[in-house]
Order: sequence, then C-alpha cells, then structure tokens
Amino acid sequence: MSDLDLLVMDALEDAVPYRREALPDWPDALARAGVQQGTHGHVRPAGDRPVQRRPVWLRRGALPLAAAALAAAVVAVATPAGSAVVRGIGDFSAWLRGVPGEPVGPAEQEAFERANRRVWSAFPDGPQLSTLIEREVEGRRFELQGFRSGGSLCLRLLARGLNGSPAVSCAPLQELQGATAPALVVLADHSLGLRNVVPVGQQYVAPEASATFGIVADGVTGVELVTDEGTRRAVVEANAFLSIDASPELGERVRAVFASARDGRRVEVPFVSAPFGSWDQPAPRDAKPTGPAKVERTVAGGRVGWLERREPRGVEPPADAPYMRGPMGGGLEFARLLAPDPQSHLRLLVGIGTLKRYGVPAGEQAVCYFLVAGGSSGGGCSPLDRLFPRAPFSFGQSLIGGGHQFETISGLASDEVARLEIFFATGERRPIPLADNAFIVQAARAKYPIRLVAYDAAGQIIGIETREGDAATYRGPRPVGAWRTVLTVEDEQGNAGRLRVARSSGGGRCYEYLLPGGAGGSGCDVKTSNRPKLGLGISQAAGSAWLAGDVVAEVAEVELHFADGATRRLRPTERFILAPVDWDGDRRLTEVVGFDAAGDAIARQRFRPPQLPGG
Amino acid sequence: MRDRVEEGVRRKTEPEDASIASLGIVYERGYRRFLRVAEALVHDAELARDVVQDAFARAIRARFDHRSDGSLEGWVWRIVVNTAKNAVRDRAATTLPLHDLADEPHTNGAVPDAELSAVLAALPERQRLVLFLRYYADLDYCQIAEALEIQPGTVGATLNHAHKAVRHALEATRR
Repeated sequence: MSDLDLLVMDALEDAVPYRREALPDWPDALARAGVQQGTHGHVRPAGDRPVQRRPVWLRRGALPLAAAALAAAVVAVATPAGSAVVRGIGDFSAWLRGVPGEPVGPAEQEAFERANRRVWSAFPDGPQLSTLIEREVEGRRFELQGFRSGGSLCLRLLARGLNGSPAVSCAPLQELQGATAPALVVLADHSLGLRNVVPVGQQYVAPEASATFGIVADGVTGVELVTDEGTRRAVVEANAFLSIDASPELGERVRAVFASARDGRRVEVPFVSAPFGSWDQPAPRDAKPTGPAKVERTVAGGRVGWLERREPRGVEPPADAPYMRGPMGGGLEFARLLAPDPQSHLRLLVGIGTLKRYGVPAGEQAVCYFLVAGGSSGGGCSPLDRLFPRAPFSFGQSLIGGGHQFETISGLASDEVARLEIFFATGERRPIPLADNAFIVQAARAKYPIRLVAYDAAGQIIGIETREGDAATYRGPRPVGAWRTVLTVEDEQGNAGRLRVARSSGGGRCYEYLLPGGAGGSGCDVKTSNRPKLGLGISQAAGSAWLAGDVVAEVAEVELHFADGATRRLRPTERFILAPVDWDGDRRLTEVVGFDAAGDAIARQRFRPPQLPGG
Repeated sequence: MRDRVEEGVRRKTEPEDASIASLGIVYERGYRRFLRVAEALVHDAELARDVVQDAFARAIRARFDHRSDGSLEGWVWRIVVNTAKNAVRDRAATTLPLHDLADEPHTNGAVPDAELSAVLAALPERQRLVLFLRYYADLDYCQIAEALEIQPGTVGATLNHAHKAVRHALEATRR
C-alpha cells in the first residue's frame, strides 16, 4: 500500500470521528416506526409476523437505555445503613438468613458434595445448593445456583455444554451487612465456550457466550448492565440477577451496573470492569486510602517460629499435591496446609526448605506460601531472612479471573503481629482472620485503595501496607486519544499488517501492530537510558512472520540479512519497522543491521532460528 | 473504524429473518458504524443520528419486504445509505467538502489535510460510498455489494478507482 493510500485512510479516519460516546436508542426507532412497547420492554408490534423470539432479557440491548435517560434517572443516594442498604429499597435479609431459591434435587446435591470433598479447599459446613435462575438460550441451558459456606455466599453458574462451566465466585457475607447499594455484582463478563486453543500472539477470540451475575436486595426489581454495545437488562429472580450475552462482541465489557426498585429509583452499583487485551485494564481508582498512616513502633525483620521449628500446625498437605514436588515446589522440606479462617474454603499452604528457584540463593532457607482456592492456586517464596522486608507481614493479591469482583489477599505475618485489620477506601474496616501466622481476606475490588494494618499485642501499630489497586490494575502508560495508522504493509498473500500509534499517558508514544489473523503486539515508550538502538522482534501471524518494532532516531536505514545471503534495505517510518519476513527455511531472517544517515553501521540485532517445542 | 484485530473471529450466524428482534440486534451491534457512515454522508452529527433512527424505523415498517435469501445487515445498510442520501437531498444543500468539518474536535490533535479532504469530497458518489462503507463500516466486499446493490467485483474496482482518483488529484494539485 502506498503512502497516498495511507493518507486516504488517515484523512477518512480524521474526517468523521468514531463516536464511542454515542448510545443507541432502540425505543426511539420503534416509536418512529409506530411500534408500541410494553411496560416491561416487550415489543408488541401490531400485525408482526409470528417469530420465535428469545427472552427479552437475553437479547443484546433488548431494552437499550440512552445515556441521557440513565443520567436523567433519579439516582438514589446510597446510605451506609447496614442491612437497610438504600432506604426503602430493601435489604439482603434473604441472603443473610439463608439462601433464596429452590434447593436442588438430592442427586445434584450429592454430586456437589462429593466433588467438594475431593478438593483441599473444600467449602465448610456442607453447603446446600439452591437453584436461583434457570433459562434456556439458543438451545443451551443456563442455571445460576447459590449456596452459603461459612462466612461466604457463593454463586455457581452452570452452562451445559460450554467450557468455563461451572463458574463459581464467592463474596464475603460481611459485604452484605455493610452494603451501600442494593445489588452486589459477583462475577462479570465471564467467558463461556472459549475455544480450547492457545491464542497466537494477540489473536483473541470471542467466547460463545458471556455471563454477568450477582445478588440483589429484596426490593430490587431490575438490574441494567451498560456495556460497550448498549444497555441490557438482566433477569432478576430469587434475590439474584443473571445476564447472558449469547453472542458477545470480542472485548465487549460491562462498564456500569444499575439496580432499580419498584418505585422507579435507580442506583449505580459499585463495580469494576473485567480487563481485556493490552489496554482495556482498570486504572487505579480515584480514591484515597483510609485508616492509620503512621507506624507507632518500628519492627525489623521477623520470624514465623513454629515454621522454623517444624511444628505440625494445620494439616499435612497430600504428598502428591502441587508445590510439594516437581517443578513448582521441589525442595520444600516441611509444609502445612492452614485455614486461617475456618469459615472459609480458602487455604494457605506454607512450606520451608532449601530451594533452587524463585530467586532464592543456593543453600539458603526459603519460606513459600501458596493460596489454595478450589481448583486455583498461586504464590511464591522468599529467603527466610527477607520474608518481611517492609513490614512485619507480607502478602500476595490473587484474582481468579478479571471479572471476579473480589480479590483474595493472603500472606504471612511475623510472630510480632497480634492482629491485622483491613481498611477500604469507603471508610469500612474489618478484622482479618489470622491464625498460625497465616491470614486470608477477600476484598471488594470496587473499594480500593486498601490498607492493611498490623498491631502488636499491646495494640500498637507496627506495620502498614497500602495497595492502590488490585491484581488486575494497570498502572503503566496507556494510549491517550485516537490511534493514527503509521504503516500498512502487505505480505505475499496480500494480507495486510498495520502499525498504528497514539500518544502515551506517560509521554512518548504507544504503538500497536495488528497482523493478519489477529496476531500482533503492543506497548508504550518507556524512558530508559540504555534502550537498544534496534528494538525489533518477530511476530508469527497466520501463515507469515513479521519483523516489527522500533529503532532509535539515529537509525536512518536498516538492512535485513537472510540465511541464503540475500539482503533487503528498509527505511523506518516514524522510527517504526514493519515487514513480512521469512522465518524458517533457507531464507530465514538472521540479522538486522542499523545504519545512520552517513551510512555507517551503528547497531546489529541477531535473530536465532525458531525453536521447536522441546528442541 | 473497527480494529482489524476482530477479523477472523468466528461469529455466530447473523439472524436473517427481518423480525423486529433481529433488527434490534443489528441496530445494537452496528449503531456506531451506522452513525459514522451516515455522518460521513450528511456532514452533520445530529442529522446523522436522525438518519439512523429513521432508517431503522423504515426497516421495521418494511420488514416484510426483506428477502430471506439476502443478508439482513446488507439490506439495512442499503436503507441507511438511501435515507442519508435522501436527507442530503431534502436539505437541498450541496455536499460540503470534508474540510468543512474542521470544527470537529480531533482528539489526537491531527488536522485532516484540507486538500486531500476536498479531493475525497469531489469523488463520484459511488466511490465515496464504497470508501466510507469499507473504512467506516468495515464491511467486506460482499456486504458493500449488497448495501449498494452492485456486484462484488464492482466493489473492488470502484475502491481501486477511488484510490487512483485520489492519487491523481493529489499529484495534480501538488505539481
């Protein structure tokens, strides 16, 4: 494609803006067509052909609400009135007293209990499953179930025939006791039916369906989800809500959630969107941390005495469990499985040993801890004498998936710590369950920043740690404003690769190259004093390989060297290089040489042949 | 323009019956693209919104005329394009050159090349429509063909002519 073609594309891009803020207004289109709408959004066209209509709540934008309408709606002022939630709308007593809905049949209950008994982090108290909502969408059956387990309420979505099911997500019951909104999103944009393949590069694929669900207070009659593609209404039954998008767009996300009451009041529900791709990730929230900011007694280092003495606290983990052997945990000499909160299904595996990984110097003792949550787990290790480098406790943040609304914070506290407390941006504070030096707490992502505070036995503050964002929060530079296409290049098959740039919030530029088949890469300039003159890489796209990246300003030209001795010269465009290249066989790219304006070679980047798996 | 990154994604079969529900899905999914093409044709953001709303109202009223062997979205695009063209005619105004849109905020700070924009505005209507539907609506050649009721082969040729025309015009003006 020529420069003129690129100019045409750029001129078109600039001439008419893509109005992302414009919201559809389907009721208006219906009204202009003379079609009446029922009070609950059911379309009643006079003389319409009989068509098989999906339930209104399942259709994308079945009840689109213009942004203006949302803004104009009466927004109730949330009042932190304990279980009263928002005055007049009702409370969560149905969930605080038990579980709404209908108990599942004995066979399903038995199967659930059997599965629960098989995992290390079993839900305590033999939870009773209830069916909250059932629907069939495009031939698939979706069932939202609920159960309570100790101090948690959990929702479980079954989507027959789709992977990603069952999706289980839990929230602390304390969230309901201190709720300030009449609904609680538990899981958003959960992907169902993703193809069981590893995407190449950025070749993301849309799931077959996505689900957002949560619970509602007694007086809530409607829940509306504002997504990138419009607004849709969830089904609300049995003090829960469920929205299934049966054909989600790639990267489409729920951006806001509103709950409405019988009297028409509408309240925005605190919520964090699920991340997508390179850039669509939550930024740190614009809120201030609360809680004490000053340590009253400084302590240095710290120990976990029982672990060093190998006392058998908690229970012994199964010998064949992950982390106990194999590449993850080989070298652990002593480990225990702890339940700092007996009311929770979450466990912490704590071990000690001489490791040769996780950055632990050879021969040094290290302490490891791993959160175990159902089928998921994660953690790490530290040298024993650097376990508490900043405060007398250390912890990790764990998020099972980007749409889960509650993050798990788990860690170890030193023997000096008598109790721990968590403070939320909302001003709420809660004690953190602490036993055998281990602690686990769930935190609502919508309530960040959070602050963890440690107290000694005398009640003095001995440690403070603040986190601005959760595990999915992205703090780095990101593109600002519109993208501008810099390069469009076609490979031998006529497939185009495109490179575009945008201003970076951190100064400099962000770039994104989009290659055939959806592969590509992205990044933003990072200020560094020692960046290489040639920052090039190979990206494999559908049927072709591409050389892509940027060079420093003094590189006026690059020369590509191939294995058969051939060479090819390219001039950077705005310091970027994008070119299809051979990446296997006799014509494989082996090296790129950068030349300055005087024609002197000033940089060289070699490329190794691609390695086969296991090769 | 939608990112090309979406290309190649397996999509569900679009609903092809012209029920109100199906039209609602087409509307919700494509609203911003319909709006952008309409705005490119009528050069007025408010009027473009009206055009899209009226076009869908027309589609709802005329839904029984849709042939089930054709793509519903292509049929709707045809209605949107025709509604936009009618709106321009009704306004009894000549097409403004694109550089008259310079008042539009450009979030990246780039100002479109007025010379080039004028060249684009001077293109024959079909060439402009093909350009807009290709780049603003991200339609493939078959969809553009359906929307404009022309042969798919004509789409490629028209797009090629549009590019050539722009190239020649620019070369002439820059001599």
